[in-house]
Amino acid sequence: MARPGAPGKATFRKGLPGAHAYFERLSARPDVFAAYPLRSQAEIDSYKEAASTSTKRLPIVYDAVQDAAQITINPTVSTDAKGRYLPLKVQTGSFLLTFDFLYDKGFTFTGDGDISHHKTWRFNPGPIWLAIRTDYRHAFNQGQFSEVFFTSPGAKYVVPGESWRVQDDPGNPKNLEPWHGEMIQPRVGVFYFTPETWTRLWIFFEGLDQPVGKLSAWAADEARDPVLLIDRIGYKPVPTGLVQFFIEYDTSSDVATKGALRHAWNRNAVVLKDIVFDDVEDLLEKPKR
Amino acid sequence: MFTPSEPFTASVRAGSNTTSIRLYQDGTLNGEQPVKDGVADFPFASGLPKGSYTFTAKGVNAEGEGPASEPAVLVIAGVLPSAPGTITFRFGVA
Repeated sequence: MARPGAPGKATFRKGLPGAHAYFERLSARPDVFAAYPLRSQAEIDSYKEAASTSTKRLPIVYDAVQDAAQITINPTVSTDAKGRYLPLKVQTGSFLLTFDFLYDKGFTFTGDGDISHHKTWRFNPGPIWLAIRTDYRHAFNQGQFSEVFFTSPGAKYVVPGESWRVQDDPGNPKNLEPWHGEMIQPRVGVFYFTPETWTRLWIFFEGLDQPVGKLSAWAADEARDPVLLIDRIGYKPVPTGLVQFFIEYDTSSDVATKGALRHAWNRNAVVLKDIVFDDVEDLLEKPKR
Repeated sequence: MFTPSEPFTASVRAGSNTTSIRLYQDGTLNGEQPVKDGVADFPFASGLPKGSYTFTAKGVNAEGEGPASEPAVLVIAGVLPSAPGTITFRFGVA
């Protein structure tokens, strides 16, 4: 082994490493494509807000206590939030998106009248390419708080023989809840997350400019090391490329009537471009408070 | 602008074949940190006094220490006083 090469010049930033150190490290990489800390109102306001016919949906605002974008649901007026679109204009190669989220216990499902699930985040454009759901009702029935999983609301992106939706393959796991029909299979891991614990997701897609790409995903939280959820399954890219990552929190159909305010927080979204699978595995790291 | 005593972090991107980075402040070793994701972070919890500082870094691996980086200069500026109150007038002898 030879002696190491000369490092780059030191750079300086205010504040200390800690909860945001992972974000700062990824943001400093030469292959960073976009970095959205979601840690100021001015920054949040700079992203397009979702158009909504409902004036009752509450906006996403900066919360200094959690140092994150706060999503608030008041179920007595709306089960949905007024989302924000993060620009994500990637069309070729591979991309990795990671971000952190936190929930309070208000989302705990206890019975009819509580919110059962959310289509929580999604990749646009147009017909949804890939969505991420958080499920409170099924998780409650398993003695858990919430599960996070991936869905393909439009069937056209799954690849026969390589990936499928639950509802399209009766021989595979039955619908656990009506909204589980769109769950992407096969999964190699299941991740139930807990309230008041920062949780981190990674979504990795290879081959945006190929007829068929590979989709992978991992999750981790403050107490648990990264868990592989989806392992390089065939999934078709959007021919026109991706445009946005949507912080959505929209049930589409759920009707909840009880309970107090529910809060969730999102922060530190980073997109790396043209990274390879082995390098992704090397940079997985559970979040810190 | 960095101000006196303000906490900050110095980050160094590692060169090839590097396991840790040594940071030198005005020629004196300040500390050594492992490389993670190609970067080593050096936290300065109590900041630095007003002044100008020159930092260089060297990579380290099992074979020893490599050549120094280009120097990076950090200027800690003094804080100007805040604006005084409005001017008032009184009549009579001081």
